[in-house]
Amino acid sequence: READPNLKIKRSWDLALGPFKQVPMNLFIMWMSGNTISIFPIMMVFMMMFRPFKTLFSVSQTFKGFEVAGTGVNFLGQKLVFILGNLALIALGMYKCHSMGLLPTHKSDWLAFADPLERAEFALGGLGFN
Amino acid sequence: MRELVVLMILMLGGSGVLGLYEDQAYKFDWRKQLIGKVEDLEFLAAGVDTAILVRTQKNVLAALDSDDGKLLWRHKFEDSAETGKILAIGRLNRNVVSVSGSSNIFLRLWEPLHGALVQEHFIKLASAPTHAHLVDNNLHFVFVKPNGMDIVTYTFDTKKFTEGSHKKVSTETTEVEKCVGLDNLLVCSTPSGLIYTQINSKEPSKAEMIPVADIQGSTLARRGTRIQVENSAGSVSTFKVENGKLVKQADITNIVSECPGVEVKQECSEWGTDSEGNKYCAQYADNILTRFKGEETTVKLASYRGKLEAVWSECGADPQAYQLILAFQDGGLVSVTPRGNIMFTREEGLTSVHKAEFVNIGFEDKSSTFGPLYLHHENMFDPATLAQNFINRMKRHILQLREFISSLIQLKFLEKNSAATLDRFGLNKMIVIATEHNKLYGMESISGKLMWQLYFPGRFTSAEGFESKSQAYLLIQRDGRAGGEAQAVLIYAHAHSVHHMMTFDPLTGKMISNEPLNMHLDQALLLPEFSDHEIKPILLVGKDGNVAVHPRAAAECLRSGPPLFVLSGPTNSKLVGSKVVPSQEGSGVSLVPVWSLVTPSTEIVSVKTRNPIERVHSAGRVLADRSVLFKYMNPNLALVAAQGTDSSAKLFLNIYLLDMVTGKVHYSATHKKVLGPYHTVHSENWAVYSFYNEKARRAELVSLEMYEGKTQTNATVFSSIENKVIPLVERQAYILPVSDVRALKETVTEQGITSKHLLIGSAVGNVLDLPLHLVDPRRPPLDTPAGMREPGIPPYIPELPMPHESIMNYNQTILGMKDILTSPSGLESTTLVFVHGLDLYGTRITPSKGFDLLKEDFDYIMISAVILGLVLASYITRKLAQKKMLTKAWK
Repeated sequence: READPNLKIKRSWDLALGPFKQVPMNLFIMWMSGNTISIFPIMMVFMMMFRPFKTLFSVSQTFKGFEVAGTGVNFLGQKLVFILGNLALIALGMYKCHSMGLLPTHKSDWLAFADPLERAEFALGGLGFN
Repeated sequence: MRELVVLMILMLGGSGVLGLYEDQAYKFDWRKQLIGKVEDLEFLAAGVDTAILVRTQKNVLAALDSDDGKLLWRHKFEDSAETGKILAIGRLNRNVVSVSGSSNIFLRLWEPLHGALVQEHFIKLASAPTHAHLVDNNLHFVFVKPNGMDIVTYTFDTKKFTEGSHKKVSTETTEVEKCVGLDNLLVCSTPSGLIYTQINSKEPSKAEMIPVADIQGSTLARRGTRIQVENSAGSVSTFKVENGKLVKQADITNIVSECPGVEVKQECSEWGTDSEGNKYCAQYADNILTRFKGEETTVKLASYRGKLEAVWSECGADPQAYQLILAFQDGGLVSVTPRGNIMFTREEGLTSVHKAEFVNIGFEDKSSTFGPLYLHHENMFDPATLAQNFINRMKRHILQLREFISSLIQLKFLEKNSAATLDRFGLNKMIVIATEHNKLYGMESISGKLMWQLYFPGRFTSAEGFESKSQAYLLIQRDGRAGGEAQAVLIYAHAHSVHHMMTFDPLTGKMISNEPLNMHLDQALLLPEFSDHEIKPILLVGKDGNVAVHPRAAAECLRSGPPLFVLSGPTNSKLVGSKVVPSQEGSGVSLVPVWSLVTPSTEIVSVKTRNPIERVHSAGRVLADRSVLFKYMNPNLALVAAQGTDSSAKLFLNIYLLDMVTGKVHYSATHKKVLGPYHTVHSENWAVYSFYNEKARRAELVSLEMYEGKTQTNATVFSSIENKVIPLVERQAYILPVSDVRALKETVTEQGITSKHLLIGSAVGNVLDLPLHLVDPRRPPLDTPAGMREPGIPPYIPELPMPHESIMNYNQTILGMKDILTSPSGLESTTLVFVHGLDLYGTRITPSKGFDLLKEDFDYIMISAVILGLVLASYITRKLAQKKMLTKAWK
C-alpha cells in the first residue's frame, strides 16, 4: 500500500492537536478534584502537569513515525502546535495549583528563605552595680 | 513543599493544651528541697530516731533526719521579716516551740514527728523586740531602749499564754547586737564587750560589762554550758557562769559544743590585711581538727567551705560516740562522726542563688580530640574547611569504633567516669550557679547533681528590692562546644578589697585566675564574638566613665568590628548612651557619651534587652490573606521600667521602649496605682510586663508587639542610626490568674522555629506554662465575624486561663520562687528550664510538642521485626515465583 502523503499529514495534524483535545477532559477532572489540599487532588494535579511536561521532551520521538528519510517534508508546524498544546496543559495545571494556593506568589511564601537580619551597630548595657 | 511544612509547623504552634502523661512524671525533671542556711539547731527525739530541728535564715522551720540529713518536714514562714522571721526555737515536753514575727508575735507548738501544729498563740507587742529567749515554758523578750533594756517574760503551754513579769535593766551602751541566754543569765554583745544580767529576778538591775577587744558581736553563741564570742582576728573567748557571774576561761581557745569534751578548731592557713589594715583570715585550712577526750581527729572536707561558723553536737546514750554538726560560711551543713568521717552534707547555700547560667557541655570526650571540633561558623561553606571538618569527623568515628571494640573485648563498657554525662542531643547542660554565700556550683541540668564547687571570697548585701541590682556578674566567655577549654568569668566584690575578676572553667570548676580590677566597677558586659577570637571579650565599664577590655588584645577587634554602644545609668533617673571608641594605637578604649535620657521624679527599676543568643526565624507574621505583616526587629531596643510616686502617695509605673544606640523613645506608657514587683520580658519583636494593679486588686500583664507594616524597608541590615521607621506598637492588657508573680520568662530555642511560651512563676509554688498566642495583642474582639478573625489566635477575653495541666511542675511545688532560667538545648523543640528559690527544680519542656522527636513509646522492636519479616517474605516469594516460572517453562 502506498502511504498517501496527505494521509500522513492529516495523521500528523491529528497528533499535533491531540493535547488540545485533552484540555476539556483535564478541566473536568480538575474541577472534580476540588480546591482542598489533600493527597488525591495533589496526585491528580501533579500527574496532569507531569505528563505534558514529559512529552515535551520527546517531541521528535513522537513524530519520528512520520519521518521518512529522504523526503524533505518536515513537520515543523505540527511540532509547534504539539508543543503549544502541551504548554496549554501545563498552564492548566498551573492554574489549578494557583487556585489551590500552592504557587508562591505572595510575600508570605518567601518568608522562610529570608536571611537573618544583620546588625550594623551593637548596643549593650543596663543597670550596673549599686 | 517547604512552604507546606512551614505552614504545618505554624499551625501546630496554635494548639494550647500541654500536659504530661502520667507515666512521664518524674522522668524529665528533678527537684531539690532545701531549707536555707541554718542559724540554730536542736536535737530532739522524734519517734524512735533522733531528729534535728533547725531554724534557718530563710524563715524556715524544719526537721532533718539525724542519720542522713533528709528532710522530715518543714514549714516556711512568710518572707517579710515582720511576720515570718523566726526569733527562737525550743522544746517543751514533747513538742517543739517556735517564736516568729516582730511586733506581732506568733508562738507555735509543733508535733516533732510530722510537724503538725498543736497550738498557736498570738500576742501583739508594743514594739519589735531585739531578742527573744526561750527557756522551758518561759519566753523572754528583750527590748533595747535608750536608757537600758526591758525584759518582758511570758509563760506558755499548750493551752494558754500569759504575760509574766517586766524587768528593767540599765546599761551604759545602747547598741546591742545579739543576745543569748545561759542558765539564768542573759548575755548580750555590744561593740565594746559583753553585758549580762539575771533574767529570772523581778527587780530592776544593772547589767554588768565584760570588755572584749575587737569583738565581733554577731559571733556570740551559747555552746553547751559556755558562751563563746570571736574577735575580728578570729580568736575565740570563752566564758562560763560561776555564782551568777560570767567568768572568762582563758584556757579554752577552740570552739566548744554542747557535748562536754568536744572541741573543734579550724586553722587559718593564710592571713591577709584588708584595706583598713586589719588582719583577717584569707584562707582557712582544708581540714577541721576535732578533739574529744584527749584524742584528736581530722575531718577532711571535700571542698573548701570558708569559715566554720557554728558547731552543734550531741552525745546520746553512748559516752564515746557523739554527732557533730558543722555549719560553714557557704551554707553547707556537714555532719561528722567521731572518727572524722562525714555522715551527710547539705548544700544549703543553693537557696540564695544570685546568678545562674547554662553552659553547653559539648558532645565529645575531651581526652580524644584532634584539636577544635569544627572550625568557625563564618567560613562554613569554604571548601577547605569543609574538607577539614569531614576528615576530622572521619577520624573521630574511627577512633570511637576502635575504642568501642576494645572496650567490648576488655568487658569494661560499664565504666562510668566522673565527667558529666555527655549526650548527643545537648539536653544536658552545666548550670553554673553563683550564690550569695560566696560559692560557685556546677550542676548538671539533667539530674541536678552537683559536679563541682568553687569558693570565692565575696561580699553580698541582702537587698530588699524587686530588681535588686547585681552584685556580681557571671559571664560565660566560651562554652564547651568549641572543643577547647571552656572559660567563664565571675566579677564580684571582694570581702576585704575591691572588685575582683575570677576566671574559671565552668565545666570542671577549675580556677584559672583571680585578680583584682583597679577600677570602680559599674558594669561588666560580654561583647559579641568576633570572627578571629573564639572567646567573647569582656568590656569593663567603670563608674567614672573609663572603660577597659579584657583580654586586652581584643581592643584590636573593636577597631575593626561594628560600632559598639554602651548604656549606663549613672543615677537612679538618668540613662546615658555612649559609644565605645578604641584608641588609635594601643589597647585603650574610651567612652564618648552620645545621648542621655532623664526620667524626672521616677526611679529606673529595670532595663531589659533581648537575649543575645536568640534567633528569630521569620521576619514577619503571615495574615489570613497571605500577606505579611513585617516585624519591627530592632536588636538595640531596651524595655525600661521606671517607678515613681504621684501626688496621692501611690506608685505609678512608666514603661519606655528605648533604642540604646540613638536614644529614641519609640513607645511610652504609664500605669497609675500599681505595686511592684515588676517583671519584664523582652524578646524578638514583643515585650511583656506584669505588675499588681492596686485599684482593681489583681495582677495584670501588658503585652506589646512592634510591627513595621506590610513592607520591609531593609531586609538585610538593621541600623538604628539610619532606620527611619516608626514602629506600630500593638498593645493589650490581660488579667493574670496568679496574684503574686515571682518570675516571668520566655522559652528560647536554638533556631527560633518553635513557638514561644511564657513561664509565669507564682509565690504559691507553681509555674504556669502559657502559650504566647494567648497574650497576643492582636486578639480580635469577641464580636468580629469569623471571616475577619486572624487564624490561630482566640478572640479577646481579659482573663488568662490557668488550666491545671499547663502547670509545668505538676505536683512538685517550688517554695519561695525567685527566678526562672531558660536555655536552648541541642534539639530545636526542647527548652531547658531551671527554677530556683528555696527549692531548685529543673526540667525540659517542648512548647511545640516535640516535633523533632520520635514519640516516647516508639516501637523499635515491632517495626524492625516487620521490616525483617517483609524482606524475608519478598525473598521467599521471589524464589517461589522463579521456581514456578521454571516449571512452567519446562512444560
